[in-house]
Amino acid sequence: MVERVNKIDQTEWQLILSLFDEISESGSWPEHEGESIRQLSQAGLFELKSMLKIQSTDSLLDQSLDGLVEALLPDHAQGLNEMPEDMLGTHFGPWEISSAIAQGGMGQVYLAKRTDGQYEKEVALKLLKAGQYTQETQKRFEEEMQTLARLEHPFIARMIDGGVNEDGITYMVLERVDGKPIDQFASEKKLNLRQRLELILDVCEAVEYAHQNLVIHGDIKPDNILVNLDGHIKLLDFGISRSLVDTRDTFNLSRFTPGYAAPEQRKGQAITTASDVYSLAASAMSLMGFHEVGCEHANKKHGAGNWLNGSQNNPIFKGSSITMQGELKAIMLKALKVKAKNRYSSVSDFKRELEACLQGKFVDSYSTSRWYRGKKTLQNNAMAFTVAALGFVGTLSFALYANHHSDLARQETEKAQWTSDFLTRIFDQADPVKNQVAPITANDMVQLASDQILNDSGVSDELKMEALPLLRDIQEKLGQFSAAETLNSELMVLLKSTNRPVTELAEAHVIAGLNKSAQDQIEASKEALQAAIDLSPLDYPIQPVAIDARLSMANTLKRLNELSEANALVDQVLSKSPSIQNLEQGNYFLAKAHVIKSSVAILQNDFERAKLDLEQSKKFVASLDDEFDLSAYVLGTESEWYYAQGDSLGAAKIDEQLAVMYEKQYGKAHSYTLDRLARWAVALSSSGQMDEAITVYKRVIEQAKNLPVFMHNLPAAYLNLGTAHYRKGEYDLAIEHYLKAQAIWPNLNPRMAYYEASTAIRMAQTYFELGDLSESEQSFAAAFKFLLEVVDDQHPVFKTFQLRQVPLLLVQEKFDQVDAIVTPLYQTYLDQFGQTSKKTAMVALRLAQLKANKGYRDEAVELAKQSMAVFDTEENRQRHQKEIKEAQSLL
Amino acid sequence: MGTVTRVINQSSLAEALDDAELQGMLYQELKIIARSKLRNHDQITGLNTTSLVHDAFIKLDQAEQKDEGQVWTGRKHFYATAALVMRQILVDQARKKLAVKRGDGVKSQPLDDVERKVAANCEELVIINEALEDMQKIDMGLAELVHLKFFVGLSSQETADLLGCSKKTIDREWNKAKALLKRLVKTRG
Repeated sequence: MVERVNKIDQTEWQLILSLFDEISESGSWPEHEGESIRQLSQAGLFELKSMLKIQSTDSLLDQSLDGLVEALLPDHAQGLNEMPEDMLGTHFGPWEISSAIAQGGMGQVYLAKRTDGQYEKEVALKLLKAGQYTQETQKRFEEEMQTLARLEHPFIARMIDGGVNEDGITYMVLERVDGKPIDQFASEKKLNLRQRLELILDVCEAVEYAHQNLVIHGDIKPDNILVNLDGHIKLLDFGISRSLVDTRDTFNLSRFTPGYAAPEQRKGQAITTASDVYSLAASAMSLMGFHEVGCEHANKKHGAGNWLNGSQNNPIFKGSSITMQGELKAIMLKALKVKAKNRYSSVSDFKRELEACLQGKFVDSYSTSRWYRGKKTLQNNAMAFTVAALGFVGTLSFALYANHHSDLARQETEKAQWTSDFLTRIFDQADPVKNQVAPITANDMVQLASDQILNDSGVSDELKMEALPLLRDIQEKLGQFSAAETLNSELMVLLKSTNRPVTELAEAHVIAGLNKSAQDQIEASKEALQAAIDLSPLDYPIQPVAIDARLSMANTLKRLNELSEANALVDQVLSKSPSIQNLEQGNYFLAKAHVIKSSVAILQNDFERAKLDLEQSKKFVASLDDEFDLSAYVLGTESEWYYAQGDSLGAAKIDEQLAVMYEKQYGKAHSYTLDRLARWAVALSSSGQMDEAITVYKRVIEQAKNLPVFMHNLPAAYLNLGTAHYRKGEYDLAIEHYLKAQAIWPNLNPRMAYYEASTAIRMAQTYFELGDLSESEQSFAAAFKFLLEVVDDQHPVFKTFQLRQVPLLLVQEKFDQVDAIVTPLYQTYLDQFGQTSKKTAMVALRLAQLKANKGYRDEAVELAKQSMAVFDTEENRQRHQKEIKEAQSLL
Repeated sequence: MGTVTRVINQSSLAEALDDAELQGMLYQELKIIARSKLRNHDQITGLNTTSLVHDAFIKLDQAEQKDEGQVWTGRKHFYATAALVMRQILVDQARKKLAVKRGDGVKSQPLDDVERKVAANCEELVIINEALEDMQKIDMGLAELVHLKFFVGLSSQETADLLGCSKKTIDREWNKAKALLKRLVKTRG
């Protein structure tokens, strides 16, 4: 064909062209072929007809070249310094251009003033750059306006106005930032490393905010971060930013700045929040004097590793304790990973680690602190389930928006999909109209959720690992300890099979230990906590979980009456005080350690030491805000301190204070509040204020009736009310309340064998007072049976229970049995508590009774006097009238 | 066209045309000047002195005025030169893009829709460039119109103003030029 074209000479071509004009003009082929047409050769005629036949308009010739130019020319070629002179004085709405200031990726920025005087300050007015008015760029410019309109943050240059002027040019009016690019600012002010990193943290905050508003910046670099005259950063140029919800192709997003753009962005792939993390880190690197973050390094298989070495010679690092060898390097390497999914998935994570590094805290604290926070929320919030569930849904609906963006987003989407399906199912079942059943309880819901997550094979491990702790904590909150245990075991299996940080596994062991402890399975608790301790050595850098494991263990040891071991463990933790103090929860841990020590000291009757630790603990608690649980624990220990020394009045005052605190925190009818009220009542009755105590118990019973049946508060209140009546000598009333308590205890989950035992022993004592010896004997047997479910026969509690049976045994003349109980116990108490202790006095009295029965009069009198010396005193007289009478009868 | 050739052969411009980055800048500068010049109706002004075009055009302008007495003022001259430079830059870039895409023994990456479209456009541009050579032999005037309308991106009115004829004429000529060029492209493709 080329040959045919070449066969046509120029003269014939001219003829073809003029015939083309003629025919195009008339719109039709001449009816009678004219002279000129006949002059054409075959080839010429063919060409003319072919030219006329061309209908296509999809040729490049029919379009503007702008799109292709945009795709072909290097990006920075777009940044020109040309400003048409006639732009000066041009009006855009109420704004008038006064001079040019800068260039953005595709925008031209001018200084402008408002002509109507409504706004005094000079502003930045941004236009599309001359020669770039394609539909695409126009659209993107408008998108930038919409994006900016959404963002209102002190660290982001604010949009003031926008519109289209009379010439049809779209413009945007921005807050004018009078400042310098961050790198220039830093070098001019000779900022040290810390100051530079602090600026970067501010940038992180701005980017974090943008991400929260579903906007990715896409072009973070030092030039786009200005520091204004006040020293505050301002993030500029959202020119290529895009909404997270936007799913269009990203080809035209290639207008990034190469040295700072993430690898995926350079490849023209979709950008995500992780791309901004990369650019942030690259900007940070540049600010720290490492300038070659560009493609070469990041594209290498090993990322930016090699190039990060050697901060020794970098003047910015001079005099700083932070080097590029330690955490900072780890953080930067993670943020600069070639694969987006290996980076910090959010700026918040990056920021948090950077902050920790700057504060000299250990990095990778994230998972742990998240755990603590989660735990705290659940501990502190009565509405934990609702809050947690809403949080769950909230996070995930965000993820729904992030659709189509990278693996990470896909994961999130999967999670969101699953969650939404899951919640739909749960709420369907909770719908009383649909199902014609009573409304589902939170308890049932969590059970459903747990079943779902354990049995649904479509749930990824990642999702399970996220959902299991949440459900576990809710189950625990609901008192469903065995269900929580199941979930926790599942979680541990998962954690072991994946390469999650070992601290997470240790955390799960701690939870398991606390869970076992809550179920009164103290030995199992000890075992789990030992596993946690083994997984988390107490060495540098100190991990919160290492401390938590040890303190929890100390509490468990305390319950096992291994007091000196508990004390040693706490001392071990306290030996690391300086490191602990550097932790985010440092004061929390120290307060907790001291209060545990104090409570152990109280059990050891070392009230001086207990007082000292209590003071320490109070000091640390005072520095915390919003640590209700711990302050309550400390106050509770203080009450214990008074109580243990026999100062029930002092204890009662603090207990009343605590009850008010709990009521404020949890509400009137909450189990915790009722526990506190009950304790107050116990203190009242101990100090002889029986009627006041009875009033409070009745209040507890009234309020506890609305609690679920598995809560201990109601039976405990009946038990205590019974005891108050017992103390008043109202034995029938006492039995009445004990019977109610006895009926409820077995319904509890977990079963509270100790309280069943306590109830039984109280009943036994009451029946004894009523003279019903066989009922009494049966009740004692039941009490021992229940008690042996939780402790062995060497446990001090068991000994005190036995001691209570002594009056019955004496009446039954089972002197050998009494001897076996009382004689060794007297010696133990004498050694442990001394002669003046009420405990010793009580055993002395029983021993005196035994001696009297056996005919050892002198010894009996001696012991009776000894016990009288304790009971017949100002503080004890009222409460121990019965004992005084018994002792007097021996004298 | 002697002046145009001299502009293009000038060392700084030749250098610019050899460098991908400078090519891009030169292209954009030319485009901006082309637009501002239409508004200003005067000589090439308003350029800052680091401008590539400044080097290539202004210096030459002054030199020619001094040395040869010839006057480099005609806007037509400028556009003819600019168009030629812009054409050369674009075709060069398109060729490079295609070379990268085809690769030497490199397994070609799957292209997305947008990339495919760019690749197709590049191929078309390269052929248009060759067909334009044929066209210049047939009708210089039509080829010049293609330069102004297509490579410089002037509107019909702007072209009409520049060439001193009516917009209607330009529309008709442009229509004809496209038909011929498409035909020439087809015979080459």
